[in-house]
Amino acid sequence: MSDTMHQGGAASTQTIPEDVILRVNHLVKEFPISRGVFFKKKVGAVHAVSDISFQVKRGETLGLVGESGCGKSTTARSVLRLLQPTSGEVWFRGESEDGTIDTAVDVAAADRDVLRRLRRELQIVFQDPYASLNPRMTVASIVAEPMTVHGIGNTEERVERVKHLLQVVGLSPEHTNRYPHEFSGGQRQRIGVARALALNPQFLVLDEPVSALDVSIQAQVLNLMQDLQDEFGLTYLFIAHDLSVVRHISDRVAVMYLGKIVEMTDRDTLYDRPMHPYTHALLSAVPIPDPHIESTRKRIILEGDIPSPANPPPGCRFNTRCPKAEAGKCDVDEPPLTELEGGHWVACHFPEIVRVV
Amino acid sequence: MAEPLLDVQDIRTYFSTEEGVVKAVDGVSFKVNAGERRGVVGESGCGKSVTAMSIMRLIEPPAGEIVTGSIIFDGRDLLELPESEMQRVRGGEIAMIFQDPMTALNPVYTIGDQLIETILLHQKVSKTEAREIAIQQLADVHIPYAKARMEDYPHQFSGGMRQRVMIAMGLSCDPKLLIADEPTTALDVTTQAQIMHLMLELAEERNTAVLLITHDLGVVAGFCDTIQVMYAGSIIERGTAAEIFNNPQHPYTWGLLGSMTRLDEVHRDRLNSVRGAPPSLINPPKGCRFAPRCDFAQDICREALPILRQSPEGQRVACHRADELDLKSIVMEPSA
Repeated sequence: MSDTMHQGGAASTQTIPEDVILRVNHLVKEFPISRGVFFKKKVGAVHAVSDISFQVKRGETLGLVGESGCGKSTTARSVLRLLQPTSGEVWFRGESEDGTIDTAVDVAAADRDVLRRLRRELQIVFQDPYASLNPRMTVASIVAEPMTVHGIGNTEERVERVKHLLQVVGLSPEHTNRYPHEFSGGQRQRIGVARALALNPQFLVLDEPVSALDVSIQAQVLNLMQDLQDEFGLTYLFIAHDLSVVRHISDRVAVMYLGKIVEMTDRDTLYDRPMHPYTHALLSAVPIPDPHIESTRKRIILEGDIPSPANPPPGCRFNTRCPKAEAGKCDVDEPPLTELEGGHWVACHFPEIVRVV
Repeated sequence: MAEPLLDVQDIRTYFSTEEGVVKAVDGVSFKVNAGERRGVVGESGCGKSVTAMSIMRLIEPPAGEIVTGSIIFDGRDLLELPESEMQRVRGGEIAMIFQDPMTALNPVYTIGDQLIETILLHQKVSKTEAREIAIQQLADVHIPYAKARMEDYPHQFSGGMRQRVMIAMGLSCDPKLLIADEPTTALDVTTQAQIMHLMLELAEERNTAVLLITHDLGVVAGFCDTIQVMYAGSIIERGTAAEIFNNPQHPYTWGLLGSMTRLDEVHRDRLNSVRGAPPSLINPPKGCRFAPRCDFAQDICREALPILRQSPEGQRVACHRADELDLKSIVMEPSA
């Protein structure tokens, strides 16, 4: 498989370590804003993702957090090439069935055939289990569809595989002939997970997989995701806005604000020793279910709203709301994402460890 | 003790559907004192919003109906009031803010017009005075350039600002009770912090009682004095915030708290989870409605519906086994 994979993608000039499954370099995604009915003229762009780089190690979970409009979902979709990146590279280094590590392939530059093969390895679970399942298809056909599309197995084998997958995600194999509306939200999300697993992928994007679910159901699905990761050696890119869920599930966490990664480090460092003022504000805003802690906690209340990504502020993108911003510096120079301690990356002119949690 | 501001007695709100009668709220009783901040928590479909809508009498027959009960507010039974008087109560003495501020505001009128309309409806003032009051209200909820922004339409406001407008509108007539139905669920977490901070500030300043309806136990912890937990149409536990969070007596409350991810929690391998899903409200199980999902259920739980009664710990709990179970000492087995 590795042979065909790197033929169509730009040949790897990058050396990507064997333990890295995904490396994103300078990813940019802009959406044009156009005016005019007959002669569409580009008058601007929404800078959804502006030059971000990160990597994900084999078998780990990278949490990508941020508020709405920060570009986290656009990042995920660009990585899978559900959206064509404006520029940048997305190197995927998969594993063959015999356990050897393949050469890296640039997903962003892969041609049709290579992309088709890559799709087997890179899958996604969507947020809304109501909208992401076709209401007119049975569970069996929903879960079998990826196999049909990729021509895997015959009908009988697919039926067997669907039953097995349903069992794996904690549903009864007898449910194959039911329709999505016959299931609760949590069960539907399990169907979505079964579909994502159908092709035996190595890398899963989980785009807010539990945001639409009630707390007790959330816990069931999070536990399931962890079990599946252990069982199949999956790597996750976990997109969420809920920082407590991200703390629970991630090994490392990247925080996004207005199209940029502002801070990235391992889980415990991020929550115990955050350095970016935006991370401080974000963490301090999350309520903790304990009245005693809540009554003594100090909140950093941010002023105003997130600026429009069509017209991001110059300099540091957070400077308009940052309590530490200095005129002449933060509104002029954009701080680069810099490694300040081992593995702790921060994009700020005045980084400082503040204990917020 | 003074009379409670709100005294809800045994309300039952049913909806008729093609499949049968949905008992969305089935025998709910509680009192709220003046200035008290009460949290109503539970998962989707537990009846928390229908409870609020019943208090506001927003349930329209024939779809739904409050079949029994009484809602005494400030000495009057709201269920007995003629509609014309109820209209004065709504927005005047009891205000309500909703989850989605975009659908709660009219998109074709300016923010100013909508604020002025509410003021003119409930207060005896001239149009010019109403305008002044409205500008002041926008300023009170910290909207910058309040005077200029009166001319804006809802779509020109961000989600957080729209919710501020809803709060301004809700508090414009100095209500005694504010019902906030998931006021921050549609908002980002930093905006949520802004809005909860604002609500706390205004409610304390004016001594407004608040009924905060939410599925988010974290939001409740920082805001409410007292909490009632609902499950499948009834209240299963009620107490002070400290009692509910530190020493839950009902297995459902206990399970719900255990299934939450916490920002301040270092790490645990697996979350506890409440197995299964809530029951159908058309044919709820006989006995305790939580029994099919409860790890401690015995025969009695499947036979008789437990009533809300005082537990030795102080709070009220609807569980047959509350006295003998020592939930605090039990380490929950995580289920898949």
